[in-house]
Amino acid sequence: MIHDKRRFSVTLIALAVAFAPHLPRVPGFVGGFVGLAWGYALGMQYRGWPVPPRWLRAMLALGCLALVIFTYGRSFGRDAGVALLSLMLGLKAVESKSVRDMLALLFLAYFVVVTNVLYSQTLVMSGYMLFSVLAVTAALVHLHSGESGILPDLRRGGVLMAQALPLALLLFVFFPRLQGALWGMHDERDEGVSGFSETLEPGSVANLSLSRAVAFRVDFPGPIPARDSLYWRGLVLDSFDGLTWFKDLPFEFAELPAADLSPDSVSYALTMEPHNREWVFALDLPILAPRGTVLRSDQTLVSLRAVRSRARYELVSVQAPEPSPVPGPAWTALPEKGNFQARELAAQWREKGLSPRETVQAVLGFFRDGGFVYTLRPGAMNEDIVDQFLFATRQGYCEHYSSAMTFLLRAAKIPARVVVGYQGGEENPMGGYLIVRQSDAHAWVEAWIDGRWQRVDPTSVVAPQRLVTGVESFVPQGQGVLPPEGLRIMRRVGRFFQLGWDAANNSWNQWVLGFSHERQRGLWERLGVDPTTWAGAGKLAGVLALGLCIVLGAVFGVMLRSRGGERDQVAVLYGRFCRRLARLGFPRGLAEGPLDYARRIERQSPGLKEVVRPIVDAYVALRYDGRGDLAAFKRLVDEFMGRKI
Amino acid sequence: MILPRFIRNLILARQRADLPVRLNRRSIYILPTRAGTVFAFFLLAMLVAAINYTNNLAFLLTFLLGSISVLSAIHAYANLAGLEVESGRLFPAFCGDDARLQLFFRAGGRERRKITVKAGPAEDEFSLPASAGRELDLNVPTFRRGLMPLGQLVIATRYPLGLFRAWSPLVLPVTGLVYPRPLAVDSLDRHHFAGQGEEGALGAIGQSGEFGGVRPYRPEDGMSRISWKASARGAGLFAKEFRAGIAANVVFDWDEVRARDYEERIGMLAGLVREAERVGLSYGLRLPGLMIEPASGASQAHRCLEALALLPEKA
Repeated sequence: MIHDKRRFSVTLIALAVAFAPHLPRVPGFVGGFVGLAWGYALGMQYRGWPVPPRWLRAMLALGCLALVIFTYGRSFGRDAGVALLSLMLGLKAVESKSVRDMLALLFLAYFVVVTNVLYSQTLVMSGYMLFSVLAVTAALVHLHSGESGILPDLRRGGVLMAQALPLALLLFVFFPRLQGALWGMHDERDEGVSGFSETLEPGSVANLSLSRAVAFRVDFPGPIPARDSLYWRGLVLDSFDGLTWFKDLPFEFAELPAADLSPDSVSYALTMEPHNREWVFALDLPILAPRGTVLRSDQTLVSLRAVRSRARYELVSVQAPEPSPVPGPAWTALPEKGNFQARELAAQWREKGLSPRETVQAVLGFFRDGGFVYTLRPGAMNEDIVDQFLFATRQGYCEHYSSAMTFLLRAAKIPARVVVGYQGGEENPMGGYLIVRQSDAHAWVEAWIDGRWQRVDPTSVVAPQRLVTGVESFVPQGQGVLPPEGLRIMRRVGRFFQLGWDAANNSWNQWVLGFSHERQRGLWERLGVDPTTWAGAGKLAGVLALGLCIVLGAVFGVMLRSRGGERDQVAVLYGRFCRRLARLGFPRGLAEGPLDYARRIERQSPGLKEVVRPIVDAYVALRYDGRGDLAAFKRLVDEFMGRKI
Repeated sequence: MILPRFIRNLILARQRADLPVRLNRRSIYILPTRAGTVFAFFLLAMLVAAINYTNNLAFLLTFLLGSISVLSAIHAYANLAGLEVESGRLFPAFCGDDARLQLFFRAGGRERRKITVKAGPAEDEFSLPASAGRELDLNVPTFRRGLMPLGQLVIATRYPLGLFRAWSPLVLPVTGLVYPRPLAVDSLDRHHFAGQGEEGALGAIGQSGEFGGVRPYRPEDGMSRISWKASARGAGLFAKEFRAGIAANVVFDWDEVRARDYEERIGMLAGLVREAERVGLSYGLRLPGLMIEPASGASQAHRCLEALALLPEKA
């Protein structure tokens, strides 16, 4: 049956579309097996290859299961599940004979499409998933339409999807979101996301400076503050071992913030890309801890769980530091040995009796006037890195400067610490938000001056433009073939698309992927409905029901409309044809069928034969034979109406 | 399903419709298929997973698939609604043979895809472009002689996704006639008739003898022996030739037929009528209380067979 072959091929194509994104994710043998199985299944349909016997299929199934267990061990997680599902796609295809089997295959294909969300939820992948749903739906339609062409079925699938989309969106917005999971889940998201580590050593920030990956995006309800004041604090490092700055002091909660927010506080929403760590970046000094995070005594935010998926935080920050108690001796602690030249320099300043503020100025002056170079490639350093940097190479990136400055301040008995985070960000004019990338990673110093922890950024004296234009001016540029003018235009066009694309992604992340319990709650609050009360919940249910009724009613109307213009167009055309003949003197008898009518006219006026015959034949074919071509019939009648007789 | 008879009758009464009938919401039912039920469980599993992982894309896809399947019910309904059954006719058939059911469908304003029509065990399917019509023939098996009401006709569709089945059970005012099952009669041998070879008991009129074919007409044959059927080909006149035994102009008599019981007698007579019609005799039929004068042709056969078919169940 050629019909079944065609349907099977269409089913396989839909399966292939659904399976394609998994191909690079599953191990090679799975992909190979699926390909072979599909090939054999096609052979069964077109070449009459035998259906593999039952025992062989059972053995294959067991073999596949064993291979998956062998490959993934006992931790049966996402990858193992998808591999098993893929193998089932292959096996099921080989034993598919009936429509029911193909139906089962297509349901599996839907499932395969949905498992994609476990890997990727980007805009592109979501678009592809929508396309896959269309392909599978069209294949289902093809299975049930009895048509030989796929195009009408594809169209019907598209119509179904287009009608379903508003309904799905309605449910999406109204379906109550829970907080947290129903039961514990083993989460295995992509490991090795770029970003900071918990320590700062030479090269750790510079490594990030080439990465255009987005760290987080920020929405400011008000104007975006000036770029050189955008310091995104992430991690305060309090201890030094001669090479690396790290966090050693015990965890302390911040004291409760003052009840009234200071007038110059800035509120904003920050959407962080997953980085698998606990820290949460915030502008300067956050004063409130959003749900799921705590505020540390060093005024940084920590998430209670590692940030494994994109998270949105509503934050409030101030930029001026509050007075804080005198820090303990740990904040001036240094290793026993090493970096003697630096210690000596600090000792000189102390002997001169410089105040902390003057000491800071002295350090900055030392950087400014000492011929220091700000570079991404400072060359390797191994021992006494502070001394080497301060007195030998004098080339470094922000981590060298902040590390050396903190060392100098601590040697001068001034409490100081290194802060790592991001500085600056790029405003996306198309979305009105700020993009902060990994290349904006930065390190700076905080010193305890006049009873407050105050920010000092040594980079600002060595490379002031770094804070205004970002790191790009320091990234070595290759020599291009294009003239600089052309290059600049190209870059601007590229940037335009990049920003537009980022804006689209951001909207997707914010409004679709990031639509959480909190945001849903916020939406209801904005509409003045409280879903926790019976009245509020009832109101919401009512609105949802109304919306569903409207959409369903519209679909009903569209589907049951007999196409207005086409309303029995055949009869209309035939009527026109008969009236013209009546005017020519051949009125149709009341009970005269089309064939009799045609025969009579042919008898009475043989000249009309070759005009009347094709029209009547086309009419009979359309009307009584279930076939025939409406367009051709219309053409014939129109021709007849225009003809001079 | 076994339902009390009166409930079945009630349901059938509700499904009764006059021709032409246009399917509408009163006559269309819709329920999920087995595949649809499986799919519903599958969607439920997806929803639980989406809730558990608080994965919004999974939510969106689940809702999309759910909406598609719900809307496919509307599409299935729309595929049937407005379809017209313009006429239906059940042609007579001998009991045991299939009776031809001829239905004429008209699409109405929309195109129709893969609509299945089922009458008893007979089933066929069709598709139609918008505002087209077509004829559909079904072969309905017959079990008893007499009038045969068509019974329930089910017009159904699983289009577009196979998740829902919309169907419309109709009881149309279409009644067919089932001729009695004809018993095999090799030839019009006289010993099929009653009596031990007594001629005349057949009520033979005119020529006697077994029909033996035709030969060119001779004037002495007389008008009644002209084979009009053979002569109609236009190659001159032909006369029927008879061998001795049976009259060419016969009346099959109810009382003369040798049969064991009532139904066999009817079957035997039906067989005789069929055979006589096949060989082109002029034949008549005498039943209790009814006499059909000899004639030949399809309408004569129908008249005789109808009379036999409509004989009461048991004497």
